Amino acid sequence: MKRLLAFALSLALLLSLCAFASAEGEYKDIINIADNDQGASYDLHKDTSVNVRNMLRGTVYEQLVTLKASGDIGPELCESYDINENSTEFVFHLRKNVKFHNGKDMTSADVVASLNRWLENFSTARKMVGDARFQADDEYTVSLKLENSAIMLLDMLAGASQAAVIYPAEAIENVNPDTGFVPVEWFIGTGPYKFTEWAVDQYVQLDRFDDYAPYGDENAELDGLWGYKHAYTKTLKYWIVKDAATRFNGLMSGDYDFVVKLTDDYIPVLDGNPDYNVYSQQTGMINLVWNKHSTDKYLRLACQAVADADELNTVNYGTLYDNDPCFMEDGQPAWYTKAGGEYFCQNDVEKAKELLAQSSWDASQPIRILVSTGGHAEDMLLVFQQEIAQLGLTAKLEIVDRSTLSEKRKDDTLYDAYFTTFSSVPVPSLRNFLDPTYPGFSDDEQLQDLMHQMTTAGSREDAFAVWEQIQAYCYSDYAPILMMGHFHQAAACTAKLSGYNVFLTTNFWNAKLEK
Amino acid sequence: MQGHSSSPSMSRDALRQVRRELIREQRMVNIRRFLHNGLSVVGLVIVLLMLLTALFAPLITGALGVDPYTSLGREMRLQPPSAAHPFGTDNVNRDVFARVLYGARISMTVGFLVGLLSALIGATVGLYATVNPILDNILMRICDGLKAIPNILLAITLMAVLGANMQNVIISLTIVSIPGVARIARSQALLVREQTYVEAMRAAGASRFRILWRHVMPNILSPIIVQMTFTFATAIISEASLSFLGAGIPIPAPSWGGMLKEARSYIYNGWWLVVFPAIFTALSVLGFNLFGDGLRDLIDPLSGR
Amino acid sequence: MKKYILKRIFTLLPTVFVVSVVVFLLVHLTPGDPAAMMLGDDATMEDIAALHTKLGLDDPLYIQYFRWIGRCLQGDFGTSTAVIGQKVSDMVFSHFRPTLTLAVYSQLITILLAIPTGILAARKRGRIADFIASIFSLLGISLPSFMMGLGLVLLAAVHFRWLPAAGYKDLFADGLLPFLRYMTLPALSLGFIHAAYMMRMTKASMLEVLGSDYIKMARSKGVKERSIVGKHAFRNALLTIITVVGQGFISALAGAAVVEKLFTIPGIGTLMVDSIEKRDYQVIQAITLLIAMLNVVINLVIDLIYGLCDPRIRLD
Repeated sequence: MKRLLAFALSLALLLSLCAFASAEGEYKDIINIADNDQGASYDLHKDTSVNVRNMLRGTVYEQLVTLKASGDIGPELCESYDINENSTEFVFHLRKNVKFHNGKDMTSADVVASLNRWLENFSTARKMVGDARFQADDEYTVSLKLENSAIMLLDMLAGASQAAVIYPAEAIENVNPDTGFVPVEWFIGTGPYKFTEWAVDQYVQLDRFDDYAPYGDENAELDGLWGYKHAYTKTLKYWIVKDAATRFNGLMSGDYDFVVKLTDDYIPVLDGNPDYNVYSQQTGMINLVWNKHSTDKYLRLACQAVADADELNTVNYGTLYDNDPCFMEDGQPAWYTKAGGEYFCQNDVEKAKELLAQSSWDASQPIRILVSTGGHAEDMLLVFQQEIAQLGLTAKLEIVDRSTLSEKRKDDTLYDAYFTTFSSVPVPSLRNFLDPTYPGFSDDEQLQDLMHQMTTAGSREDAFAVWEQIQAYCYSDYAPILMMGHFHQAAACTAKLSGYNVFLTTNFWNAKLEK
Repeated sequence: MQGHSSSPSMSRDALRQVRRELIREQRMVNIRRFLHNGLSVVGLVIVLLMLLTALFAPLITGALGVDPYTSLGREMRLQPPSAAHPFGTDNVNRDVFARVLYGARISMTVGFLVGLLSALIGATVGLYATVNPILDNILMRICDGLKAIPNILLAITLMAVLGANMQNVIISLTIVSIPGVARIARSQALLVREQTYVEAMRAAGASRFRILWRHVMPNILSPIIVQMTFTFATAIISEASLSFLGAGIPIPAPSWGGMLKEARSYIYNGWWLVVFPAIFTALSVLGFNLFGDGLRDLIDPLSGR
Repeated sequence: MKKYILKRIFTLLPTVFVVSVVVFLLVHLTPGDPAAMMLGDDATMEDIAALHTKLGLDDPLYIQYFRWIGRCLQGDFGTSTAVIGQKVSDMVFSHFRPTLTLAVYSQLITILLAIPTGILAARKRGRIADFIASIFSLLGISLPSFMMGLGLVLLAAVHFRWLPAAGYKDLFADGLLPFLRYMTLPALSLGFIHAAYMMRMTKASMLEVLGSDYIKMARSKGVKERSIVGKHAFRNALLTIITVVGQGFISALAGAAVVEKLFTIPGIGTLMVDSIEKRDYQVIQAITLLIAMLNVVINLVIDLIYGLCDPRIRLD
């Protein structure tokens, strides 16, 4: 009997071990992700590039508040926050027992040091708050008191391209004095993964942080960037693969489990193949930014009237675009509007000619367009050249590299327009091309009046109403940019990958990869 | 200078006559020898064909009703070769045949101008280097320095400074090619200067400038012309490489290297985008190399193989 | 001998000086601002200008030059601005491994291809084998490395799907087989031109030696053909071959930019092209200086080997 019991027990033990082993064994402990570029640094307060933000926000670093799928704001490193009625006083109650990757507890000192550095480095936010700075009320309370109302500040804390992430205060103290950037060894946050290794030009490796303090409901799905993060997979390895063909081949050969920025030509190959999943989402605006100092509004409106968005976009994006006039993305219901959309690329030569007749532009003079190499945008502009030729206009393309373009566009005597794309921003006040000093120089009084009204509006609803006016005014009257639509970014992964979350980008916090 | 002309005028004419005959005969021998070498002739034919293609590209494409810049409409994107478009169409719906032919214009212009300019400047530098040891030292150290940086790296950096367009490609590649020509010109000029007649002229008080240009220059011309054909060939490769790296002639110009750069993204669904520009580049480089080999054998039968 | 080496090294100094001045000027004359690249597109003009000053880029050029050279002489090549905070020496070093392993592999292929065919072509002069070898060498000389690469990709990767079209696997980190799988196409395209030259040189020097009096003598004494080719002729042709191998390394380094870009190998050439794009001054300067110095040193070593191997050449 004893022996039988022992046998049964050991059998049970064995079985449970087997079960345990198979549960452990079902998923791989590494996901190989092919990213298309690396950052100059992974210091989110300074580096504004999309790749860096997409990789690290919510993964390695967390913020006081973050974006939900609806565009609402959810508390992340704080339990709750209070904002007074006219948006001049912000109080954040921090979560307790949140640990940084170096083992230190997060307190208000870290939050104050981080957010004040964020303000120093982010001119738009700095202008909004004036001389006010964050301060610690006690160990777990942080507040900010302003003179003017700032209804968009919370959105910026949640979703600005210079992400308001929380570093340990020591990281801020150890900023490299020569460059002002946080050094690699201080890429430390509170997120579910820690920054383990950056092999320059090869990969960035993130490993699970075992002391991560999750928030939200364990059994619920993620809501946007907000919610419970499990970190099922031990290692996330982001390979830096600049060439789209190489990324695609790597996916097919199994070197990568997930690839970003798939070009249109590969999608038919994967579509309908049960071994792979392909999806795409609106990620930014395609536009020609006019130099308002050298062009007049009738020229700009004429070009907007003659442009054919399909013809332009197919050349560069294949099918990965939308003829969507909104200056924000379709995934941002709070700010989404089609106001002025009837003026979006009209493909109407007659109307364009009428508009051009009112312009003082000398048609014998070519429109000087700056465009940078590498984005395949040159091809689009060739098509644009042919389109405006119907109006008797000519364009001179100046194709330069990215550095030269960013230098030249500062000088309003050197160009009439330049091509660029804008990635998504959480609030319309962060749309650069509406800023009077940003290259292109939208220093129109009426527009700036409206912008001021929007940023100082008393409520979200009021702000949205002004925003609709702004967009309509831009389309019908001012044309600061030639808006050509929105581009999509396609990504693909093996069908064995599950649990990833798609919002703004693809997040792997809860992703699992079957063996 | 007067010292040499002591013979009576009648016999001088006769001598001239004989000399002219001799030169003509030598020329015939040379041409026959050149033609005898089959590969040189192949080279010559390719070179001529390429030059003709470049010259008549607008006529040929005009006759076929195609054009290198105009989009044929969205439904003509990435079409494989067909009767109407023998080299197919590209990602911007353009006819590849027309683009490849127009590409010959770019390659030939770049090759020719780089060859010519670098020969002119290089020869001048080389010649003047032989005049004065200090100048020689300075010029040759600069040449050494420039030569120590691999051509393509120097050219990319120059292009970044100057900005990407055809004129600047020619300037950068010329700068890159000058040291090589200067070296050859200098060593040849040194050899010539040692020869007795030059010494004699110097003794007779001929001006330095005159000796250099009237007597030394003609004698170093042949190796420089040979070098020019090779420079021509390398310039075609370098231009293609620069454009392939995105530092050369920007689109929409139909440069072969630029076309290959674009083609790379479509290698899985548009082999014709790679194959035709590549064949044309390789052919023209081959042509100039063979032609250059033939010329070199002609001038100096002992060198080379 | 010692005197000669010292003299040669001494004459290298002006060359290196010229290289440093040329590259420094070129880099600083290029439009664009590293500070703007460091902060991204959204940065304000004010912030960029502040960083520009912080990096010392407002100082007069000659001061910046001497500051740079002074630091270089102490072994400090500065820090990168494209990968902020990285030491340039670390970056160059880590990117050098792919380039070097690729160069060595491509040289191996080159030697294995070129020398036997060269010897064969010399022995069977004028026959089919010679003709085929000549055609290949002509092709090799005329095909730029990246076109060769594209052709190979089209054939071996796209059509037959034997090998991957691009990517990099490290010899030491990933093992030999993955390395061979990924690096064979790049090595072939890098080595093909060179194989053509090497084949020509091998053939020419073999012919020269085979035609020389002592080989004729050996032949007339009844020494076996095999041993003539293997022992006498080849040994004497070795000198030329050493030269070509040496130059092969230089051209592998030079050609790396294009081939590495084509096959997306994170080597020194890719680093150079990317650094120019991102205006990473310190890295561009360091790479150019390094390659130029390698170039002159390899040439010096070739000359020295010549002197050691061939008593007819006197080094003084």
